[in-house]
Amino acid sequence: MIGPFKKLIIGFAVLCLCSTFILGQHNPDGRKVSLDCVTCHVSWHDNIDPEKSLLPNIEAPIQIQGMPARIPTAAMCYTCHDGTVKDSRQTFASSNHQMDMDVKHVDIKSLPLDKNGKIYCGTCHTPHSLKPTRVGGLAPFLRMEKMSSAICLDCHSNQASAHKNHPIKVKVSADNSMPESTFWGKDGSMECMTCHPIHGTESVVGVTGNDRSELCSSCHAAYFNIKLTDHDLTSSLMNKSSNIGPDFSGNDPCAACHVSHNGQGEHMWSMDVDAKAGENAYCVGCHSDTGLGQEKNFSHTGHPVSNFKLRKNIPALGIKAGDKLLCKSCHDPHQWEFSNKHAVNTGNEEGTEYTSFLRLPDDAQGQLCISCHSGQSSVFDSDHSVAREGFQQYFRESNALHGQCTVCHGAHTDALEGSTEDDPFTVLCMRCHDGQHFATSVVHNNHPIGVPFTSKSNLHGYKKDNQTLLSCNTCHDPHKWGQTVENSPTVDLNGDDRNSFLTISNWPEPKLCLDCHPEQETLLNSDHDLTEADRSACSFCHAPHNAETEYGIFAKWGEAPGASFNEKHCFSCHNEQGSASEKLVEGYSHPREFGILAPPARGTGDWLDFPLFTEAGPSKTVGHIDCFTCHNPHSWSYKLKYQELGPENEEGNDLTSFLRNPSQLTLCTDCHGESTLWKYNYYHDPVKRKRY
Amino acid sequence: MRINRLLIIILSVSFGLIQGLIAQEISFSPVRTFESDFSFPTDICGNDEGDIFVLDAMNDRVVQLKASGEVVEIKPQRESIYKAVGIAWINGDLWIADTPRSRLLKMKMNGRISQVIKLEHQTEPVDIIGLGDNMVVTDRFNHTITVLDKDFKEKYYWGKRGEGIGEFINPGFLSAGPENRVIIGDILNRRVVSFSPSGRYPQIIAKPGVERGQIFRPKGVALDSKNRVWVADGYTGALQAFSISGKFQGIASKDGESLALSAPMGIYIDKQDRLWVVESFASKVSVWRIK
Repeated sequence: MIGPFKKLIIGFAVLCLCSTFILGQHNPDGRKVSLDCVTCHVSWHDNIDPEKSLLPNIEAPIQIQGMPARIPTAAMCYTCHDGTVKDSRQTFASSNHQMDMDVKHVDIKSLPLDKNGKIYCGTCHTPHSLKPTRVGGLAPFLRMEKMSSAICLDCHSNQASAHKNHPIKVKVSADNSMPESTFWGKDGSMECMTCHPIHGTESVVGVTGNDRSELCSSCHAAYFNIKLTDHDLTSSLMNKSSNIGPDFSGNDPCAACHVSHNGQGEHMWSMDVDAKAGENAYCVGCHSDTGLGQEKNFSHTGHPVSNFKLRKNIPALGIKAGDKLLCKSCHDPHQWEFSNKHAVNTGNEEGTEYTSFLRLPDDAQGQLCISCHSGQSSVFDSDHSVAREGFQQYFRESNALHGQCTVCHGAHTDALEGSTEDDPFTVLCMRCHDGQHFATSVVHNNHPIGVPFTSKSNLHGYKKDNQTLLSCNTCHDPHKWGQTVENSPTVDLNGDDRNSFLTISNWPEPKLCLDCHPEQETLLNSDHDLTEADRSACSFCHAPHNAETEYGIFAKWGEAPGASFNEKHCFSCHNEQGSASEKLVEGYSHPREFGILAPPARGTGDWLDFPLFTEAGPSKTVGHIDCFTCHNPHSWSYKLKYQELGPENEEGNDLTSFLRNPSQLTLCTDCHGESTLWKYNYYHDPVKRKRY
Repeated sequence: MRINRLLIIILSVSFGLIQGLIAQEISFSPVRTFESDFSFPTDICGNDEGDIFVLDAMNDRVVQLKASGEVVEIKPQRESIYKAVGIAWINGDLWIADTPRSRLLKMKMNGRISQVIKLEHQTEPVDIIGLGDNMVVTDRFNHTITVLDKDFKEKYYWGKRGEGIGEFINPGFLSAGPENRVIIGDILNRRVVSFSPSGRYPQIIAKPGVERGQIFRPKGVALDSKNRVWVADGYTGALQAFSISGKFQGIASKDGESLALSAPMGIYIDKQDRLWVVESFASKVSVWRIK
């Protein structure tokens, strides 16, 4: 029999034993757990006597998705990861993604924090996670997927938005120089941990400190050519202070303009920028009157930007059809010299056509400009090429160097800056064709310029007072030597009607001349149509440059007889040795001692009805009779119905013979009355003249 | 009669257990603290001259705390140690358990590595001790204890991964006990066990738990002048003493409060009964006098 005392003793003893050996461990849900669980979940030990407990005081259980988790602290992790079981001392020792970080400002969606609301090992890791999903799965025991950066973005969602942050999930070129240990996402794409190796054996190169650009250059090696150029603000602005954001004091050229996360604008821009001002705002932000790059202030007088779209793909400049033309279309801000990737400039060094951060040089092949203006490439083989000796000599003498295109065109400045002339084209052409420099001089007796004109083909000119006035570019396209003889290479050739940089071919038909002077077309096929192999009908008598006379821009007549320029001009053919020897004019001189009032002065008609001349040229008031007073060399007959031409050298009559007007409109009878006919015959009919 | 005998047995066992769990405090007084720019140091040892050596492996170095008070950095040959864990003074030489490289290194005071013992079986040595002419190595990879002879050849080993007696889950720090018994912290089995030099006759010194007289993460073990086995608990931070037969002797306390050090790992007790402890998480070494 067992007495009550004995029962009490036995019960107490059994209780003691049970408390030690039987009850075991239970989780907060009351479920019995194994010893493995309490290896980490230390608080799941049952029946811990608070008086004897050695456990650290963990008051607030850690929450996972709102549920108490009783997860151990980092100290618990370290008890195994101190090298005795596993070795994570490097992780603990490094400052990579520090623990005890205050993350109250972060919107953390589902990762747990420690009792103080700070991150700790268990924030990202759990021993209960699934096994790595691939061979060498890299850092298992994560709470969320690493490959997609999901675990990073749970906290850092604001650092993944496009444009203002460095993109992730983008394919990275295989020729990057990232370390072998670099983490890559699916198919070698970039993820957060590519740059941020959370527990890398090395410190996070480039993410902190002054060497971030080294990290950037691992993938963006070409951009690193910016180093020590004027766009390396840590170099060029080292001693300048700025309140616009970036730090120029370090050795970190990328970081001066770009921040990897939370930039002020697109391109991860570090500085304040007027995003509404468009893509060029990133350039003009500095290259303005008050900007950091004010020495190279952007001028709107140069090549237009922004306002038009390009119509075709231009692979050489990375331009696609429809893209707007921007500063960056021509400039690569990361590379000073196209051909020398590591070239640097020294403190606002003046750029050339080969440097100046140009994507392509404006060299002898005009690579940059021709990328878009391919139609102008014909200039390279012409005498307008800077490769020709004339230019080269000029460059040697002036110690200057120009690109193929910029020799005439200013990309960012007005090429005619300082000129007070209205006609920019003439000013530009006359820089070389002025009689003093190397090019053909066109300074004397030229086709008039600065005058209004009407053109069938809408030829160009320059604008003034809402009028288009004639200029060099009306007749000349300096980029194309020949229109009919295909872009014939020239070396200091004298031009003719087939080439000469004419905008419209002037041979065999003088289309260029007739474009503005269509009324002279009656000349064609007449006996005065003297078209030759390289000379049009017009050019036989007229020279648009360096003519014998200003009036009529008559071609040179050499030793031709005659008392006036009209006579010399006509007799240069109408002489015994001339091409018009069959039409000699033997008696021709009207007495010149009497001044005759011109029709406008008399109020009887237009000057051309009866043009009079002086020794100086045509006169609208008083003059004397000359060849062109009676003859219009461009028209066989003044009457349309007689215009139809007969056989060559057909004998004319008083209705044809290139006579200007019917006799009733002349002034002859005013002076000569009834003797007019007699005198006319005397002067013009050799047979009759002999009779008298 | 049989019931009375049973009662006596039960009572004896129960009260014995209870008695073993009753707190006993052993007063500690701080002597000093060394920081010396340590970075997660792990182990500590000393020589007969009173010099102390701290393995500051994350800085790839050993720090010598000389008896004279001088602190000397011993920088080993370039990259010769890498994330090592254990250090020991054995027969006049400084030995390092070069854990991840499966090597034991003998290092001169000038940092020169004078001998490299390559271990077999992918052994990852955590700690070493000298035992007569032999060296005893704990192995975190195979969960075994390996004995090397005087020529550093593997003589024999014992243990395997498991929870049974004579088995280990991550055997860690070692100490030589009375009669050349090998005292081992069996880390994830949460116990301290001693063995004969041949690996037989296991004796549990400290059992699992988180109360006084129990151990949760046994790390450094060391014997004091009274043959008490001191055990550092890497999680609770406690320093507790046990008899070689497993009787709880007391817990290190200061001003009536149990010490709770920062992730203590290797410990060393010098001839003056001062206990040196590496507080790994705090990257420092603290020295305590056992009163």
